[in-house]
Amino acid sequence: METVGGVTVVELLGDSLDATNADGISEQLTHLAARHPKLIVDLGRLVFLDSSGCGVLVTAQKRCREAGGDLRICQPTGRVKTVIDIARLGRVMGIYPSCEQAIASFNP
Amino acid sequence: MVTASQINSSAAVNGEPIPQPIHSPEAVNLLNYVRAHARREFARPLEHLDPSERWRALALAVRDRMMDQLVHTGERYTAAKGKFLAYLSMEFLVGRSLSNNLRNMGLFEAAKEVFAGLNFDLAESLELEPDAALGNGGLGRLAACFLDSLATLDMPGYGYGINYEYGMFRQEVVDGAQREKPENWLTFGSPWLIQRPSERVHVPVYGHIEHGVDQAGGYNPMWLGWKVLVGVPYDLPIVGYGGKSVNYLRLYSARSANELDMEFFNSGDYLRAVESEIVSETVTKVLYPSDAVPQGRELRLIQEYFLVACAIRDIVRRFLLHQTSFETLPDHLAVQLNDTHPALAVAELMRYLVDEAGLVWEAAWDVVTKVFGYTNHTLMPEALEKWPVPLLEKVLPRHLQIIYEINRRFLEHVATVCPGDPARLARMSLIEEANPKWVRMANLAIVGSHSVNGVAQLHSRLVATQLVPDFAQLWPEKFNNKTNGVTPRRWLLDSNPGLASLLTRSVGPGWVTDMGLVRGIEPLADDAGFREEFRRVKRANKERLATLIRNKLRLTVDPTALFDAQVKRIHEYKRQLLNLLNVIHLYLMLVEDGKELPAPRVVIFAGKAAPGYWVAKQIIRLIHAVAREVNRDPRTRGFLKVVFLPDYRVSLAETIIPAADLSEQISTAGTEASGTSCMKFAFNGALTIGTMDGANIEIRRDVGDDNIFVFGLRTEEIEDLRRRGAYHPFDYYQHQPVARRVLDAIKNDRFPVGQPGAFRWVFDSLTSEDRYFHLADLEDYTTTQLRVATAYCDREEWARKAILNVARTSEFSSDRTIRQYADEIWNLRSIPPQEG
Repeated sequence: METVGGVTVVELLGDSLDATNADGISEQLTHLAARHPKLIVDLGRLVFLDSSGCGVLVTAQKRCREAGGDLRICQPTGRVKTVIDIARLGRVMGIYPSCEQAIASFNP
Repeated sequence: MVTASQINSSAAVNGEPIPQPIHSPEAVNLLNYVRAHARREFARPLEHLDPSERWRALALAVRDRMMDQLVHTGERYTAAKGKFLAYLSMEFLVGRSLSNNLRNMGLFEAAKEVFAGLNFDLAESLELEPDAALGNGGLGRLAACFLDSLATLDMPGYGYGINYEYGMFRQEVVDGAQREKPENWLTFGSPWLIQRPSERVHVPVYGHIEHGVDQAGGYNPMWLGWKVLVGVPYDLPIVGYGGKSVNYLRLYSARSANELDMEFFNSGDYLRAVESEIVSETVTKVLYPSDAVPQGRELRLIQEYFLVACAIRDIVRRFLLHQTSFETLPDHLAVQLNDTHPALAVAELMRYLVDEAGLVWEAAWDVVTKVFGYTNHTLMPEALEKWPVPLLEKVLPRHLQIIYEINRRFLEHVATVCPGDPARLARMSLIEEANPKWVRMANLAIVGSHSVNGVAQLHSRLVATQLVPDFAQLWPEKFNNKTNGVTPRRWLLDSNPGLASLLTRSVGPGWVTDMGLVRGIEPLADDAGFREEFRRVKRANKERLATLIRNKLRLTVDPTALFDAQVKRIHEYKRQLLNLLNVIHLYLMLVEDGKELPAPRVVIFAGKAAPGYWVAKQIIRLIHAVAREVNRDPRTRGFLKVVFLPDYRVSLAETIIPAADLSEQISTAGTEASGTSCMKFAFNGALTIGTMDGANIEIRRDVGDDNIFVFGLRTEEIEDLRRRGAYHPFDYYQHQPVARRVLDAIKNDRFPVGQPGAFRWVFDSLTSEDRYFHLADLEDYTTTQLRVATAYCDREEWARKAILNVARTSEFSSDRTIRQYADEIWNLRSIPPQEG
């Protein structure tokens, strides 16, 4: 995790965000959202994302918005991007090919 | 290519000598491949393989040759940048492949030479290949014939289906009763399937919709909470005749997304860990053994969506290899829906284009309606598929939303065109307002397609005028006919080599890909020498079938008798019962009246009953009960035998059909959409006895009234009786002696099965409702059968008629059918290899 210009970037270290770890990660992200409402989740290492994982991101975004910020995601790869498209996640949260572009989106 | 002289001069290849009778270059080359596979697959010399191993080694050798062509074909199609066709079907009744592939690759003679040279029995080995029975009957076999024609015509057409582990059940008969046994055609693996794990796709099912707002403030439904199935494709090569083009049938197997749930596994709960794996793999475990699947079966719905999702995902992948703009998708792709089973493809492609590709609704809908064509196969409204809304909401919540939106826009349009007609809106709606509500899949398919075709002229007319007239009035340009066809490669060349050889000697070899050339034998129908050869071929086929009957049933039949065949799924509308009533009539004539029949007859039944279809199973039981009495009664004096051959499948049909003299196509008029066995029989020189139903009408048009035996009420007469409520079958029982005598025999346990009154239901059913008008047609049928028997006595004249049937039924080649689809629906063109 690092903070750049008031925007916090969180990199998911595991290779999957799914039903087996969704609850744990959701708790962490929700906790983080309260203190760092301008949040970017880096999905660069993620190989597997399922709809539970999508739910985690949606919930965390709600918390960020309640705290006056937003949640955006960056660097989704291949299959993860497909899952995001199936869930129409891209309509509700910004998706950026790089962390730099995601950070810049908070400071237009 | 290595020549025989080069190889023989070396006296050995890889240390193994070439047996002297194998001398042609093609055979020597094939032998090398087969030997190599014997070593690699079985770690044994070819000479030490058992028959089942030999066919596998041969199959793998043939597959090697097909693989090069598969690659070249794909490259050729890509370079030509032509449209490609995706043919979606829940069923592909392929049957055995080796013999067909050998012939299509031009390797059959070489294989014969190789096996003969090694003192192997090729026929024995060919018999050991299991049927790939990924289908129930005509609809699945039609799909397989179409793939053969697409490849033969060098057209880029690919089948998409499900790789059922257990295909159509194996039918055993115990004490006259059908027993279903699981048939795992993949028990020992298939040499034909090419696994493509890198092209696996992920299919979401279940879940819910979260109603959100997008970044522009608009409504954004998010489909979350779904489970993932993984579709792993397996390609079955489909080689066209001549071996120049090899397409493929892509079959998907379902796997779990997570091979093992690691947390559960680590916690020691192994069973639970594999639970999700078992459930996922259930999706493609079993083919539903009925074309009338009970509504609301969740697994079947998931199967249908699984097929559609895998196919659409794969189609899009192919499209994106060379194109970027989805608006151009219809220029590059045509998708044909074989019946309503894959109709969810309409909603799935919309979902993909709107949710994943980001098209606006109108642009996506424009693409979808230009891509899809729908083939209807039934006239019975109750057979039109529909799914309960609650089930769709549970399994495919996003698709239900999309279907609702399609329906909303569609009904808006209908209300504009036909204002003030709420009844019309209710009829045409994709949603049937009942409790629960239902989604009408035929309506979805029609609305989402630019073409809606029936499968015979009468059928297509009735689809437009009776089944869905509102749609035909709204969009007359969508509705058309494409009469079914069957491939002459499997149904003549491969299954009737004697007749195929006679045709080749008479008109040249071109008929195999141009059935119209068979018309050239028409003048030969008047040539006694030709008729003699024709009869010799038929006789040999009949002796082959007689041998099979003897081996299977320990029953001896006379090959000079009239072989009268009704081989198809057991169903009331196909009226095996009507046939049986005539059999009983003939039997009673023989044993009670002491009469002789004009000609001896062997009545051959075969077919499976859907496991849950009680009446069909009872019909099988009655056939066996009648057969037992008839066959053991010496008073029949050999004039009548009744046979039921168990486990009807493609490979059995390939033995029965070439041997038949008479083809029973006796469905109640207005019920059989087309039928295709009628065409196979005609190709093989059987005369038809039939009603004016389905494709019979067109067969009669082509062969001429003198060369077919037509009977029974016409569709209009049946409709009139129904409409007026004027059909009283009991009156026929009372006033027609044949009906009375036959039904009384059944009612009075003339054919006992150890259970008094076991067949009372036949009497009760046929004298009360008789939904399929058996009694109304019985007198005409029995009279016509008498005409048949009398005609058969004049063997020369019968042969002449049979020859004319072969000569005049070329229209029923699936090559013609596919050309019509390609020209009129798909805008698909042939892409043959360059000469030289």
